[in-house]
Amino acid sequence: MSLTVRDLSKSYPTRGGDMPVLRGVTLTLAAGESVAIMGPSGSGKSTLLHVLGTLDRPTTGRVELDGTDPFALPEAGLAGFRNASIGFVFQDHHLLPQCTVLENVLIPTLVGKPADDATRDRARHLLDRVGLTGRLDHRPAELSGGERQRAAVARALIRQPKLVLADEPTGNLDRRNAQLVGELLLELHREQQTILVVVTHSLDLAKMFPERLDMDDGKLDAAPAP
Amino acid sequence: MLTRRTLPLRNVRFYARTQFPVMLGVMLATAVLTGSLVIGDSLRGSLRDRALRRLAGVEVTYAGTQFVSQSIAAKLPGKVVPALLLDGSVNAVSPGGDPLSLTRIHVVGVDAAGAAFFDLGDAFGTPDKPRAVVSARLAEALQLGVGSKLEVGVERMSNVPRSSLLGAKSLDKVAARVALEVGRVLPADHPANDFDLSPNPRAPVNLFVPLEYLQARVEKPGRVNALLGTGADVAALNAALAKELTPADWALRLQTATKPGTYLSVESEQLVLNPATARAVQTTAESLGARCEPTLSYLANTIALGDAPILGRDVGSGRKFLPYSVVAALNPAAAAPLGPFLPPGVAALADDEIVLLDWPESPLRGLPVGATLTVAYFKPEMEANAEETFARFTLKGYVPLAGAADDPSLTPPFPGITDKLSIGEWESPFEMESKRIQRRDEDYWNRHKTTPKAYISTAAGERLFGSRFGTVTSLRIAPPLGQTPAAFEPALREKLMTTLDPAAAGLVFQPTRERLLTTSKRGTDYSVLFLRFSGLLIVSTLLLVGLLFRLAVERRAREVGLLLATGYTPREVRGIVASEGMLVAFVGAVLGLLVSVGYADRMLQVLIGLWPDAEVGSYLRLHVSIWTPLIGFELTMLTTWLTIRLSLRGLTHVPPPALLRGVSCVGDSGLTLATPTRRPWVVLGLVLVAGVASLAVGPTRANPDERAGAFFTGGLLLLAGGLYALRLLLRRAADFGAGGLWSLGVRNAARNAARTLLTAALVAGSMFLVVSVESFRRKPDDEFAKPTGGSGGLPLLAEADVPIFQPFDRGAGRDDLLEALGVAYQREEARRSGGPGRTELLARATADLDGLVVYPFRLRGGDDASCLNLSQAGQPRVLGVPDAIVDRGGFRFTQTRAATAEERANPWLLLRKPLDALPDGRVPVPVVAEQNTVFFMLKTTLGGVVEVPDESGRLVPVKIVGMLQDSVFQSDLVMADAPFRSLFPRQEGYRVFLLDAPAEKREAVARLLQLGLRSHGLSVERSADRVATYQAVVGAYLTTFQLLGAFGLLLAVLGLSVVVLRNVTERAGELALLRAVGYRFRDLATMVLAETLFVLAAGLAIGVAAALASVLPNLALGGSIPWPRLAGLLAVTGVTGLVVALVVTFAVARLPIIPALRQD
Repeated sequence: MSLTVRDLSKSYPTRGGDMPVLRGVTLTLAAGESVAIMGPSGSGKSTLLHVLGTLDRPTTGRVELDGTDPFALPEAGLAGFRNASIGFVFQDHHLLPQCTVLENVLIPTLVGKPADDATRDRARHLLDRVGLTGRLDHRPAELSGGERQRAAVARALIRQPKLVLADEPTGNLDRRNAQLVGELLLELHREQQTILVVVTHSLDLAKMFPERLDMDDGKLDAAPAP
Repeated sequence: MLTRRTLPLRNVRFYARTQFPVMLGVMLATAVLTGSLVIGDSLRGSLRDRALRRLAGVEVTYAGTQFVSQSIAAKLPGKVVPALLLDGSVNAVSPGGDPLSLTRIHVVGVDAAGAAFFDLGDAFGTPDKPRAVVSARLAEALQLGVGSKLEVGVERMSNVPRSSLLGAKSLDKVAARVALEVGRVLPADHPANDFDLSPNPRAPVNLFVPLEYLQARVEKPGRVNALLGTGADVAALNAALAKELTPADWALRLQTATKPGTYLSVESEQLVLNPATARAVQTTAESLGARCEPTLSYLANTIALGDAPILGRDVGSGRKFLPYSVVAALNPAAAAPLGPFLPPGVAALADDEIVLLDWPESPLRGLPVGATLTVAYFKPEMEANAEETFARFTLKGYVPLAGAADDPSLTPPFPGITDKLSIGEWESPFEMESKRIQRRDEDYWNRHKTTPKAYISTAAGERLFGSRFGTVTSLRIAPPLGQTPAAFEPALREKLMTTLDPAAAGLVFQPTRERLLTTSKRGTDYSVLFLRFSGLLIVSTLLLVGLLFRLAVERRAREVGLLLATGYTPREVRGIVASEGMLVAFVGAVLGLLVSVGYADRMLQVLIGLWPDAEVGSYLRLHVSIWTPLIGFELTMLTTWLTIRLSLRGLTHVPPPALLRGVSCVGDSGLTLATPTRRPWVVLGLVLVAGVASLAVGPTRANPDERAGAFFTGGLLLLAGGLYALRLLLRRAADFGAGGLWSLGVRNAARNAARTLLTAALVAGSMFLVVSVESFRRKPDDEFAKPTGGSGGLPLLAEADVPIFQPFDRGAGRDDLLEALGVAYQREEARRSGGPGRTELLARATADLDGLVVYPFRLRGGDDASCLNLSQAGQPRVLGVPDAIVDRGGFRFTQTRAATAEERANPWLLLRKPLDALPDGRVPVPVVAEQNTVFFMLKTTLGGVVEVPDESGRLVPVKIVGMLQDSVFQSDLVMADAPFRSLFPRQEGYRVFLLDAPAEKREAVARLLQLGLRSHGLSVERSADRVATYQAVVGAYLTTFQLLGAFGLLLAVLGLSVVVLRNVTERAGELALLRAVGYRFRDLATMVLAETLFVLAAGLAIGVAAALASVLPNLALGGSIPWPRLAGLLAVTGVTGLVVALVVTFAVARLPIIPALRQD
């Protein structure tokens, strides 16, 4: 299982002409590998994450996850691919306020047939792993910021994705919670042997990762040693 | 348990507050849509109830011009009551002593069985003191109570056609005055109050009178003109009726000729046999082996030697002539005993030849064969004064006063003439010159009575003396050899009764219940009408629903983004959100169904309030059919589903990353739209061209629905084009000036183009409806009074219950009127003391009547075809227009089939133009009618053919050759006098009158005519008032629909408020920033105001422009735009928008800056 990104570029049309955001990004990650991508605002970090997560399409270049080019799939297939293979953790937790914590974790599983007992057990297990055992029936509004983000991590992993993408997952958290969420992400990543890509401004978070890359003006380079 | 299916329900519960406005919107849409259907139900249901009430239990009826024996009723199956149904007027004196009168009364003569049928109680009094039962309406109008005295004016029936020579025509001979006392006043809820066999809009005003008494007063003892049945079907009743009819019911007499005694004579009580009956008698007689000879006897005023007629007051001094002699037209060569009437040696008689009776004292005795004789006679048809004419014949010879020629039975008996001992005693309805009558003439009358003094051929007789009533006064039948007339008579009678076709003579029962119920259903479809006019409101409501739903969902853009990010397809996401919307819609629709009933009720009340006839309020009630809520619910759910799907269409086009940031529209997503191309402008051009083309096609369509469809399609295309142009404009929002608060505001409007467009569409749609509908409003204007206007230049309109034969502006008619006025003044003089006397009043009346011009119209009563009638006019009223009007021209035509310049100048001439036969061979009769009547009541158009029943019930095609506008003839089909007389021979005299009088005398003239002709139930009104009433109906509809438009405008303002609030709330951070950098409240308000006014102005401009364009053709037809009202509406809408903008801005400006900045 691997993530292969080759010569990826992305540009947006503007009144002044096309504006390149990614320029020939190439990257290969195998199962169990993780990387933190850092870079200034507007450097293209989030765009790269969105393209890797198939939320956005590349202008040129190729992305393959475990040998599959998701952008070659039809729209429904692409969504299915995303549901089955990719887990997202965003800066904002994006929990549905109308659902309980457990239900929020189960949201990705509702795409197909209704969640079976095994899936529910898995959701409970994940929530146990992120320390929310006692909060299963709570609503997001009843959780702290850190708890919400941990629930979001559990949601990202419920479908046992091959690729987990995290966009500033600790951006809204205090230092202690940021540490906790970072560790949790990596721990679960290791347990599940996913490919983990994290985009962050946080050097503390980046330091937790074995590999770090720098994004600058749409190009990806190895980060200098801290 | 949460599943994908239960997620929408969870969402609805959680977001109930934000979805509440959506639910209200759906509720409103359901209420309006279902309410429109309920209005249709209510109209249909109310009309059905009214029809059933009017029937008062009657299911089938015979009601015709032919009088039948009262005793027949008891012999028919089911329950049948005999009745005399007459139109009449009632005069009474109020308790205070003031004379009161009311016209258009249904006078119903019933016997004891009829009284029981109508549950009238035992209130008819005794034969020597008859009493009437008055309906509640009549009692209220004339302040009647038990014991009040009444004088009822009804038509005195005449066996002989009044339009023939021997018919009496003076006012007192035509109308009978029936004096009665009130025996009972029906309570207001009594069913007999509403008894009426027509679906006309006017509430019936009934007066029940003892049948026997009424029969005696109208000179029809033992006879009735109506049989009211129930409990048996039409076929069974007709079969039984045909079996029970006797010759008397056909107005036939079968008798052996008195003097010769050698043949049977079949004659009519009406003096002339109608053609169908005459044919049947002849066929029957011949089928039994008898010979039959038709005979037409007529009175010649003079038969004079020479080619100069003796006419008028000429006493014929010095001339050889026969005065007041019967001329018989027959087959002169008929074998005995039916002839011959030829001089010896003569085998035939040419049509211009005459044979004289050779009687000893004849002044024309001994004339040479070949001598010219001039016969002077009155024309056989006349409504007013007798008109004399003449014909010349060549003497063929003489027949002796013996054998067949010595036969007074050749002339049917006629009371008042043939039963008089001398000519001088004749009670003739025409003027006679008694000085012409000599001793010899009296002697002849004394000895030979009506024995003809001259004979002419059948053809000549038909040509000179034939009329619309027939060409035969008797059929002489010689029995087969070996039979005496008396022995043959029973066989002839029996067979004749099976040969005569009651259906051909209209002597049949009609399924009246079925007819009234059908007409109640087949009027205008108010469901469709209200749906059409509520359409824009419903669309507006749905737009608002879409807008509110979209706004509610946009607030949850992040949720949508998350679902997409976690692998839901856009379709699945839309499905979840749409399901959520449909759940909300379900609740809204269910509540809307409840509200719809209230809405429909209110709209009905509005309609009742606006309707010019208060009677509508007495029967219009709320009705809801079983299916209507179901249909309304399904329609609303379907349209709401479409609306929600459409409103969500763009949402999933926003990239998930943008959605996750809370961005809900493409414009704010950071994406730049594709480079503008020319294609949208081409599309816009095509839409506008299609709109203009549709408007241009409209006037060429004859079908009103197609025409209206073309106008509205054109208007809506222009509306759509305008909104599309706005969309394109919004795309270029960045070019809206550089800097400045106003340009910034306009740019803000473009940031969420969908919202702006939806709001502008709401405003535009409402304005479109309000403005376009207003242009259809009409009222009589200056043009109306002109000869080329709707009144034809004739300012007064009169209608009589009893026909009037002699126009009352001249001659005997005027004399009769003045005499009637004299009697009325005399009564008044006797009643009160003081004031001007009879002579003075009469002198004033004479002066006031000077200058009066009367155009009399014949009327065949029927269903009122005007827009006042909510039921279908299945058997519309028909007017026979006098030749004077056809010659004169005038009135306002909108469309005609005129082909020549002369016809274009005077389209009335088209009524005289023969038409081509229809494919079925029938030749239609040309008619003109008011355009609204043609379009909406007859549901046809110019050139269309509709069928109307003639006097015998046969359906006759009539073709619309011209359409009038703003016309007093909206209730009627108008045809030329000649075809009218042919189709409705027994609709004699005139009942509708258009009057001209000097302006200063009009009021006095109207008063005098109503007083003098009250025995005929004449009512006079201003033509402008009549037309204004018709136009008020249109106005009622328009006002109702404008209310809907105004409601739509209210929704639009509501939508605008929501959008502005949402826009401003979304940008609270932006505004806080501006405040942080020093913007004042006034600056922020200017920006928001600019945004609001831009949307408002765009919507108003597009709506008004599209409406004006779509009504241009209507403006050309006389419509107008109420500019002041329009300006007022625009001002109110603009000010409302201003207030909305200021309130919203003020609310936002009060928000603390820091939290707002943090939120952003």
